[in-house]
Amino acid sequence: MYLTGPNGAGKTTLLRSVCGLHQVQSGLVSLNGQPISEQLSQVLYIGHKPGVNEWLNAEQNIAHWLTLTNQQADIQTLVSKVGLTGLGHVPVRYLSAGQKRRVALVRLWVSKAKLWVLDEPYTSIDQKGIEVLNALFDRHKKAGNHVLVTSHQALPTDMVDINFNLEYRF
Amino acid sequence: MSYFSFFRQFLQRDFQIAVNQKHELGLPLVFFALILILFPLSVGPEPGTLSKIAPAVGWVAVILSFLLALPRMFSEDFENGWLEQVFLSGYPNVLSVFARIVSFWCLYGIPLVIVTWLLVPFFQFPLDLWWVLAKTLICGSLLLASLGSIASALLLSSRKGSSVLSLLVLPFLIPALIFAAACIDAASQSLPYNAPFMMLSGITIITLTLAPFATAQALKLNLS
Amino acid sequence: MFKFLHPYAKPEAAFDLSEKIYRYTMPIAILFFLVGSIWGLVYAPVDYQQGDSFRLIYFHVPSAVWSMGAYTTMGILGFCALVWQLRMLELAVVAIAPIGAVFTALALATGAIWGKPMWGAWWVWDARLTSELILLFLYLGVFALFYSFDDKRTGAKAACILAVVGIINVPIIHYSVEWWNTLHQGATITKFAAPSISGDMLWPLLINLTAFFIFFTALTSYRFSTELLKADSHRKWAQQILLKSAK
Repeated sequence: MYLTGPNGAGKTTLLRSVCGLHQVQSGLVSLNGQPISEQLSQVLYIGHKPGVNEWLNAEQNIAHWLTLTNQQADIQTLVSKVGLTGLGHVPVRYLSAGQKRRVALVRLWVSKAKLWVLDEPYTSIDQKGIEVLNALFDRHKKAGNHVLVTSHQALPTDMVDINFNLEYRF
Repeated sequence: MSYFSFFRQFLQRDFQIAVNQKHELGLPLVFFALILILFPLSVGPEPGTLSKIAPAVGWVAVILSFLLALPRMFSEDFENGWLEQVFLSGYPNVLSVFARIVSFWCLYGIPLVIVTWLLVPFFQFPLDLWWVLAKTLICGSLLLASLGSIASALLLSSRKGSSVLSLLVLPFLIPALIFAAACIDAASQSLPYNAPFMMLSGITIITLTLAPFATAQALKLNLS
Repeated sequence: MFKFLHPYAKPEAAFDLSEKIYRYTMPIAILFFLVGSIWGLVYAPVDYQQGDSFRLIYFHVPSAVWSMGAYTTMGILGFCALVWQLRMLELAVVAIAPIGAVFTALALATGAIWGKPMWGAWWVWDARLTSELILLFLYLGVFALFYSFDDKRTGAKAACILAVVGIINVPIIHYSVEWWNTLHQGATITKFAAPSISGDMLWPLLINLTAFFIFFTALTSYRFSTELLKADSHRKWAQQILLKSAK
């Protein structure tokens, strides 16, 4: 599902409401008929803020996220999968914006969540990285799961099942 | 993952970050030493006066130095988005807040208490009284960390953060200050100081159990 | 249980109600205040120990009592606002804070003026005065917190949390200050308790106590309605009211 709309239309707010980070004035967000607040483990949210600590290195960041979400994976392989081989021990603050972003996006390789909620996942990612991401989304979708993406970049049309356009209204 | 290992992981993460930010840890300590120096220079160097005001100076200086560090309690995790991830992990927020209070106390409170030893040479403060002072301060800094967590979380997304912080923390500290002063007062007359010390620890324990709930509420409020 | 309150969750209804309360209570408050004050200041008998200076009691005691009453109200409303997520109550908390602060400041000022002839000093570290001073800072904290947010809704909720934390702490602070005061007994013994007060002195006091309470109600409703208008100034109902009053 691809969410578009001009700046200030409320894309981020909508995504945050979906995850329960934003309190909705009225209404209920549910996934497979159950309120989403009771099954947060089925949701993966990556927002504008990457959730990556600048003072820790990539491996530590990944390790903490893995334990937080109760998952196991080989950190070394993950680091190499996002193209950060050899940079695992460098504190994240020395990495470039795109590389920092990649540390956050590692989650996509691990996560078993049914719903991915991604706010501008392509920001500062290079062309090749975008292709890799798209392939990941495709695989996730084929497995019967859902991806909710906002972006100002046009997505390949064959990937988008639903295009949802938010309009700016006061 | 059990709650205990969750708690331990949070502590471990905080310590890892602290290792990479040693300069931040040192700043309150230097500030504390600076405040100490101001007193002999303004009151005069008579040992009698200095040793009399030493416990008060120690407490006030610890509070002020701690306030310097407090705004940073959640700000970094808030800005880099880690708090959102913690919130979405489905674990009780109260637990992560509790872990942060404990780590903050270990990283900022305990070192400050140790540094108050400077009162002994600088203010001719008797060593046995310093022990009592240190005991009250260990309690007091834990109280400060738990009260401070509420204030620090409340002001997370506000603009004037640190300037309002002291207004939110200091009035609530007054009971602790009163009982701590009473402890040292009694000890200096070689009287038992159990009663006020029990009161101080009681207040600390109650605050430590209740504060995480308020802090978790405040964090949730600032995230949305 | 609170069904009868339900219509007032709508901002227009709440605005109308608070306007109405303000319009009816303000004249009553002024009437009571005039009666109580003139009776107390002119007709009540002179105290044989304190002379005429005791007459400050007619302002000091009501403002002190309602400064604490206002804080309690604020704490309870804040708690309800957080539990039931009621926006109107959040605004009420924000409305009360400055009024309570003014009452507290008034109590402190009259206390100091009274203290000068009684104790020979403007300020004495008496338990009551000290608690009152701390209360002033608690109030200042609540609205400083509210005004430090750009988003008023978040600010109001934060103020509610602080008010609840405050209401839990107020007894602890109060009793520890009292305990501290007995510890350092000596310089002054307050003759505040006033165990026996003659009837013709008491009546004006009771009238002024009521007057201050009605004042508190009136001012709170007034501030509540303005805060509500400010918060909803982009909404249709508020704009209609603003247009009407501009004409």
